[in-house]
Amino acid sequence: MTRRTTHIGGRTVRIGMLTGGLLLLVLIGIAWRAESAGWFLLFPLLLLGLLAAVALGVLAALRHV
Amino acid sequence: MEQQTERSKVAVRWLVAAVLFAAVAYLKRGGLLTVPWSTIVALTAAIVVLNATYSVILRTSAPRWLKYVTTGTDLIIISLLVWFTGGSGSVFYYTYFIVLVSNSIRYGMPMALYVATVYNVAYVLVLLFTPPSGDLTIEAVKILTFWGIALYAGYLAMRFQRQSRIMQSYEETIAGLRAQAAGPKGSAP
Repeated sequence: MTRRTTHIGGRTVRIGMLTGGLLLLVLIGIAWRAESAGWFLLFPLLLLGLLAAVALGVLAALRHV
Repeated sequence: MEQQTERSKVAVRWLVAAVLFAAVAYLKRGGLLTVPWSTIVALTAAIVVLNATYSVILRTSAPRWLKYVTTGTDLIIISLLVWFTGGSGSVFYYTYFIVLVSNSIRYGMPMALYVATVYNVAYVLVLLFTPPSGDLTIEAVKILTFWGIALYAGYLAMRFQRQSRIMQSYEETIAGLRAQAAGPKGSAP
């Protein structure tokens, strides 16, 4: 019995990593410069996006995707 | 399994509620808190009613949604307590970590993410209603630290769950091999 593996192209990985970097910058920017605590409501989205990008990068580095 | 877990959470909730009530009452008597007694009593009554309701539900079964409801209400009540006792400077801020650790270890990564998200939203609302006097960056760091701990606790719970599954399969294999080695009674020559 073999498991099917989904292959993700190098371009997708690069876009994912770029998006992750951008999300990190936005996260730091909000934490550093926010004038209202309401901006912190974006943290869950930014963090989960960042985590997804990091996971994609790690999997690509280990040749798992 | 989930029913047993939620039952133990009910027991822990009684204990934590009693300790928190004693702490609030002590600080109030010493003049260190300005929160009115009516608020303290209302919050305590809310915990008592909710916990008693969970106990009744858990007598028969544990619905799949119950763990999210109990965790959500715990975080909301803690947020109210934090809000009434000074917002970001409240001494009860660290109570959030009891809910985080207790649920993340029991239910794993999805629950850790749920706790962190609900905490994030609830604590931001507390900050909006009682704006802190200092720099908001400190509050951002507090929220991000909470996320870090949630992710790490969720990861550790995930590893523990995987190891438990492996251990269970080993035990089943050993039991099967033992049964094979013993063979049917009276079959030996």
